[in-house]
Amino acid sequence: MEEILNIKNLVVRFYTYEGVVKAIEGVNLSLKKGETLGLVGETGSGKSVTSLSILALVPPPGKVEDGEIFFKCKDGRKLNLLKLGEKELMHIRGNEISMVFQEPGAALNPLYTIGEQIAEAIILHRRKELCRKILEKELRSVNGLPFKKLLLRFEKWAYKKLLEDPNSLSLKIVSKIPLLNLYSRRLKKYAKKEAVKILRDMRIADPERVADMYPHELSGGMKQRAVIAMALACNPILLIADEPTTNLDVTVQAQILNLIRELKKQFDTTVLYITHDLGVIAEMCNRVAVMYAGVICELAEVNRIFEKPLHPYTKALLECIPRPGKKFKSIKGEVPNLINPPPGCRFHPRCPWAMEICSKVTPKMVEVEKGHYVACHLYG
Amino acid sequence: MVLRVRFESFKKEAGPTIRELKFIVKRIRKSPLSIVGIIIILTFVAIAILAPILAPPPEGWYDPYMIPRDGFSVTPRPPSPEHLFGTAEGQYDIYYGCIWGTRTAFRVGLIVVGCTVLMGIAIGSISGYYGGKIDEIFMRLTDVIYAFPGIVLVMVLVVILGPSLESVMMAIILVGWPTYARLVRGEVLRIKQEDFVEAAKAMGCSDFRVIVRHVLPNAIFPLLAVATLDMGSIVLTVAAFSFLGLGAPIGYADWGQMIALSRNWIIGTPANPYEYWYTFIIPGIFIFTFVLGWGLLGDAFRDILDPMLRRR
Amino acid sequence: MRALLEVENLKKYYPIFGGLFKKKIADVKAVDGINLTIFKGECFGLVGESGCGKTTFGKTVIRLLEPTAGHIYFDVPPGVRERIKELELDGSHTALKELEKLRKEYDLATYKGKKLRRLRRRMQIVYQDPTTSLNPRMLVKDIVGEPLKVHKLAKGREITERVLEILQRVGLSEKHLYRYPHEFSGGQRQRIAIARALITHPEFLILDEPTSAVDVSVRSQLLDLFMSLQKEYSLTYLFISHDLSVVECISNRVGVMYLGKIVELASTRELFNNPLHPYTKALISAIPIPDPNVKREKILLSGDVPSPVNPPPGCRFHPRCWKAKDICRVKEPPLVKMKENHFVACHFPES
Repeated sequence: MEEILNIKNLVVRFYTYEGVVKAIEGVNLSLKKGETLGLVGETGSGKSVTSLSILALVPPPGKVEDGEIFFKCKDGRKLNLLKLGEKELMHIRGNEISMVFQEPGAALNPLYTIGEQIAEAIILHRRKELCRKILEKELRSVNGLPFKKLLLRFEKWAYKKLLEDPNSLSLKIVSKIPLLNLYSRRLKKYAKKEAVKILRDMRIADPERVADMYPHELSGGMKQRAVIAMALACNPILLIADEPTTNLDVTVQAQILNLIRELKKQFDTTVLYITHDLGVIAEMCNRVAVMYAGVICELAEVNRIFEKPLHPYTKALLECIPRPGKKFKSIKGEVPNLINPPPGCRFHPRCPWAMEICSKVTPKMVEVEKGHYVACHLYG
Repeated sequence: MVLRVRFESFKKEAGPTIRELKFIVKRIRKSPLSIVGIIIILTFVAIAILAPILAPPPEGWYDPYMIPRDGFSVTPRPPSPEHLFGTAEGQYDIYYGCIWGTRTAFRVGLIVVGCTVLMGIAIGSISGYYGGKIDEIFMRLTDVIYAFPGIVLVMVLVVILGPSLESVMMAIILVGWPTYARLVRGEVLRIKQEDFVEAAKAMGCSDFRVIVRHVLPNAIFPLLAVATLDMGSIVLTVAAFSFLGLGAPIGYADWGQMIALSRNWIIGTPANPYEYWYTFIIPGIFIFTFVLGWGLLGDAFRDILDPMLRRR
Repeated sequence: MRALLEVENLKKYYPIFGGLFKKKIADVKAVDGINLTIFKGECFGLVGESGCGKTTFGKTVIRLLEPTAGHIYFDVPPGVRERIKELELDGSHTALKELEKLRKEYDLATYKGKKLRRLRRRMQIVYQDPTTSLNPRMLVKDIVGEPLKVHKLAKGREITERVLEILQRVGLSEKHLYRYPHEFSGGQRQRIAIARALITHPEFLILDEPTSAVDVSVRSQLLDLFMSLQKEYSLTYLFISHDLSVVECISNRVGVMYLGKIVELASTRELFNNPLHPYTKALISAIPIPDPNVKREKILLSGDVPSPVNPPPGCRFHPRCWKAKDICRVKEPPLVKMKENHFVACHFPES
C-alpha cells in the first residue's frame, strides 16, 4: 500500500508567559492509503497538536519549529505541508485533508443552516465541476421573451468566467451590482442539491428537512454527522478525526463509529483517528500509535498492541482499564509539565522498569518485530 | 514563640498571593505605557501627600483648601519667584491651587468612585443573584436613570441640592451607580451558574456567604478596569461643573475652579492672545495628566486581567 | 440491610413558558416518578444517556433542586417508615394530620431553611468537572475548610488540622494547602473536591460523573480512592455515570434510566450478564471493548435520544425499540419484579 502521509521529525513548541512548552519533540509517523491509524494518548500527550500541525492550524503561541510533513495529493504531487503558503493550504484543507473535531457544535456556524454550510464547502472546492454541470444542463437555449434570452446569455457568460477565472475583475464588479449578482443562485442551488445527497450518504433520515435546519435544532449525534458530511463533501484523501465521539452518548457513539466504518469502505478514505478510548481503538483501527508527553512510544498493528504491548506506558495504560472484579491499577505519578520535561525518556519518572540510562538518553524508535516499533531502552 | 508560628503561617498564606503579584508585575513590565501610567499616578499621590510641605498655607490660615490671595486686583500676574505659576483673577496663587487641588482631585475621585462602586456591587449582586421581582425593580430604576442625559441630570440635582463640591459628588454618585450595577449584575448572572457556586450552596452556605465569598470575588474583575478609568473621567466632570460655577466655591483649591477663574482671560489682549496662558494651561495640564494616568492604569488592568483569565 | 435513602414517586418538572402572556405551555419532565431505595453502605450506580434525568435526579435527592412532587426519606428509623405506610393507607382525617407531622420531620422534600442547611452536613456531592466546581479565587485550604466554618464545627487552627488530615487521606500533602486550584492537574482537583465533600463526615455522597473529565490512568486512581474511602468512612454512594464500564466495576446495584424513568433495576452482575430491558441490552452492546479480537454484535438503535419535553406515549422507549408492539405505544409498562433483585419496566422483556 502506498504512503500518503509522512511526518518526519516534527517539533512543536508553545511560547507562553510561563515558559516554552515543548509540546511535541520529534514525532515520526506515516499513513498508508486506506488504513485507519489510531493515535492514543492522554491529556497533554500532544495528539491534538500533531493533527493540527498537519493542517498548519496550530494556534498561537504555538509554532512548528522543525520537521517535514509530506503529503501525496489527489493529482499525485508530493508536497511538504509545512512549507506551503496560505493559498495552497486553503486548497488542501477541506479538499484533500479534512478534519472533524471533538465538539460537534463548534465546527458549525449557528447563523447558517446545515445545507448552506455544506454547500459552502462544496462551492469552495468543487466549483469547476459545478460550473461545468450548470453550463451543460441548465443554460441551454430557451425560447421566449428577448429579456429572458438576454438573461440567459448573461448567466452563460458569468458561469464561463467563473469556470476559467473566478478572480477576474469583471466578475467582482458584477457581484457588487445588486440584481446581477443573483446569477450565483444557480450555483448555490446545485451545491445544496449535492449537500442533500451527501447528507443522505451519512444515513440521515429525511435529508432535505435536515439541510434546512439550524445547528441548534439538532442533537449532538446529528450535528456530528453534519460535520462529518461537511468533511467528506469534497472526497478528501485523508480524514482526521480528533476525538469525534468523546462527547456523545454511547449509543450515538456506536452509530457514528459504524458510519465512519461504512464511509471508509464507500469512499476509500484514510482515517487518522485520535482518541483516548482504547475500546474505540480496538474497534476502528488497523494500526495504533501510542503517544506520551509529546513523543510516540509505540507503534504497531492493533492486534499486537493489545496482545503484546512492549512499552511500559502502553502496558500500564492497558492495565488501567477498569475490569469488574479486578483491583484498580493506576500509573503512579503525574503527567510531566512540558515546560521542564524530564531529561532522557519522558516516561522514566513513572516507569517501574526505569534504568539509569533512561534519565540520560532519549530512546530512539527501533523496530522490534515487523511493523512493531518501540522507543524504549529495554529494547535497544 | 506564638509570634513566630503566626509569622510562619502568615508567610505561607501570603505565598500564592505573592506569586500572583509577581506574575502581574512581570506582565506590567512588558507594557511600557502601563509603567508610565503608574508613574504618573504615583507622582500625583506624592504631590497630594506632600501638599503641606510643597505649598504651605499661610500662618493661621482658616482652611488649607481655600487658596491664599495676594491682593485683590483683577488682572492675573505671570509666573514670578513668589508665585511659581503666577496668579489668577483676584490674585489667587495658581501654584498653591494646583498642589492642593491634587488633594481635592483624589478626595473627589476616591469618594465618588468608591461610593458608586459599592452601591453598584450591592445592588447589582442582589439583583443578579436573586432575579425575579427585585431584579425587575432595580433594572427599571437603572433604566429611568439612563433615560436622562447624565450631565443634565447631574446639573438638575446640583441645582436642587445647592451648588457645592459635596452636592456635585452626591449627584454624580446618584447618576453613576447604574453603570456598575449593570456590570456586576451581568457578571453575577454568569457566575452563579458555575458549579462551584452550586457546590457552596450544597455545602450549606447562606446566601450572603455565597454572594460575598464565592460570587463577588470572581465578578469584580471587569469592575477594576472601569473604575480606574472612571477616576479620571469623574475628576474631569467635577472640573467641568466647577468651571460652570456649580461646583466648588470661588477660591477653592480645585483644578476646575481655577480654570473657572480664568474664564475671562482665555483670550487675552488683541496684541497677545496668549498673554494669560498660565491661568488655564497650567491647571489644564494637571487635569490632563491626571486623567491620562488613570486611563493608562485602567488599560494596564485590562491587559493584566486577560492573561489571568487565559491562564486559568 | 438498612435502607438509608428511600425515594417515593419523585418528580421534577421544569415549566416552559411561552405565548404572549408567558403562560405555562408544557413541562420538561426531567424526572417523572421514580421509586428507589438505596441501602446503607452500598454503591448504587445510576446510568443513562444525556437527557435521561440522572443528574437532575441526583440533585433533587440532595435538595439542590426542589422536587415538583414525591417524597424523599433519609435515614428514617424502620418503625417510623412502617407507620407512614400505614397512615397512607388509612385515609382518615386524624391519620392525615399525623402523616403530615411525620412527613414534616422525615420527608426531605418538605425541608426548608435552617433544617435543610443542617442536612447538608450529612449529604454531599462531587461534581463532574473539577475545573468549574472549585472557586478559582480561593486557596485549597479555604475551599476544603469552608464546610467546617459554615457549620461551625471547628475554629481557627483546628480547621487547618482537619483539612490537612483529609487532604492526606485523599493523597495530597501539606504543600498543597496554600495553592490555587488552577495550579493543579485535573485528577488532583477532583481529589480536592472529594476532600471538600468528605470533611464533614457525611453519610451519603452523590458522585455525579466524577471520572468523566479525567484521563484513563487517573480514572482508576480515583475509583480506587472511592472504594477505600467507602470502606473507611462507611459511606453510601449514588454513582451517576453514562460510562457503563466504570459502573460495572464500582457499583453493587445498578439502575438504568431513560427519559426520566427507571427502566431496569438489578444487582450489577445480574444486569450485565442478563439484561432484560431492550434499552439496557442496546446500551451494553454499544460499549466498545478494548480487545480487537472480540467482536460484539452491536444493537444499533434508530434515531437519537428524544427530548424530555414531549415524551412518547405509552412506553417511552417504543420509537427506538426493535420489538415494539401495539400495546407499547399505548400503555406504559410498570416496574415489576422479574427475579429476586431484578426489576424491569417492559411489556416484552428479553429472557
